[in-house]
Amino acid sequence: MSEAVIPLKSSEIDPNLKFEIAGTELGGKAFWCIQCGMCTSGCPVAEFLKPHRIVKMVMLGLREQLISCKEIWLCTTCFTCSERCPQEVNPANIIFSLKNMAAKRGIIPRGLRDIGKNLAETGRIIKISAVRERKRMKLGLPKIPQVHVEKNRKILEETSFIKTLEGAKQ
Amino acid sequence: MKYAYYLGCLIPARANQYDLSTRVVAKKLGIELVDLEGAGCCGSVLVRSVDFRTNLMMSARILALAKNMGLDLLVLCSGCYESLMEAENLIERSENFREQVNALLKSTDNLVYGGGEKIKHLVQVLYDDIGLERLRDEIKRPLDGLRVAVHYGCHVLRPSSTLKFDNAENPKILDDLVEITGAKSIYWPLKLWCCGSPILAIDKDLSLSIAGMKLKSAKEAGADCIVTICPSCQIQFDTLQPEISRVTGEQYNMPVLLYPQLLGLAMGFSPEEVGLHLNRISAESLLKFQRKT
Repeated sequence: MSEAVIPLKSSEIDPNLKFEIAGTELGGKAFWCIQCGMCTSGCPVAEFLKPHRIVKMVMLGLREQLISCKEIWLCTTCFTCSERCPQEVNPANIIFSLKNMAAKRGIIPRGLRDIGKNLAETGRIIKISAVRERKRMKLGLPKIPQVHVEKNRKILEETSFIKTLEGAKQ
Repeated sequence: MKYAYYLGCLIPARANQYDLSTRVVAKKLGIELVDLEGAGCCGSVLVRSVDFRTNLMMSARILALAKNMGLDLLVLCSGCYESLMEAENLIERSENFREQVNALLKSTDNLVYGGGEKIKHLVQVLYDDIGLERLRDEIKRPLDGLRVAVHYGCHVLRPSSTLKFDNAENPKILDDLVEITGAKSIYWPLKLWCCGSPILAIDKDLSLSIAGMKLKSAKEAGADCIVTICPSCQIQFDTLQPEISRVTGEQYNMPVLLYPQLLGLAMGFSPEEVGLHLNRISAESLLKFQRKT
């Protein structure tokens, strides 16, 4: 991804990638892209991640390169690209799909793995310690509503989140 | 006026001043808040990055719990707001997802998703349900001439096709709410930019350098403070400001308030009552703007 030229190998091209992504509930239509670059011009991390380039690579079907590239994880999820795209391509959701595909292959950045572990254990992405609870009491704030940890865990299991997390390479 | 009140994770963990100032202001305005019991995390964009279905399913359950109470859901966190709105949107447009949600809700809470109850961000409740006129009547100690850099944060504005919060390229709601306190919402070039917070756990220095650009933009525009409505953004700009300085080599000394803190001060509550002492960057310098009683 950091090279100036996208290396193209016919053996790596997957013409179904763009349809597969468009078919998810997140959506995102790479095949409507006219490469105008509006997305990249508003991207806060454009120095590293160029949404129009990601979309072009999806069009070309470069699945392996996309899934293994670090840059997709730098998306700040600000949705400026999707907001401004004149073709309603929805680059932000395409990037979410690519990250989801990478995660299924065991690629999840450490920071997100830690957040996932918190979630599985406590039903929250951030653990709330007893110290923090006491701080709230001192401020006169009510007790934090309890989380149904088991019910939450059921959602994580039904959607294979736990399995994906456990399959992540350490 | 009564709402189901959902705090999410970040506010009770790290931004209690948001909860504190909201409760104080709400009580004065006659807004009753009923804590939503049993709800976990909304999932947020962080979980969406790993599995979008997990995120939206978690949000759908929270929505269903609120709807079961027969109350509109009031949220403070913009991350929660965006996830809940995305979930509601997907339930409406995808029969497949709706069926999955209902199957899951049946097994977890014996609930069926349904009802016309709405998701509302705190500022929508203030702007639409209370209204500017009523709020103006409550302003006892306006902060005349305070120069505020208004920061909406991404996840109330975009994608506007789903969130329908305000004009994403030229929003007004928060600016109007800030200006009824006597403060002035100033022009600053990077106003609508992301704060960088969502990638904090992935590339900390990059995340903080984005926040640094925004702080610099606000400072150069002559802001006395930043006012925001998102706990992630507030923590990024305020709690992490010393770390931002370490990355960028610049000093900002920029207080960062959550909107109900500013509103509370203008309504005449004390700095302590709105939790100003919980902010990392001292906001003492702003008190001189408060009109004397």
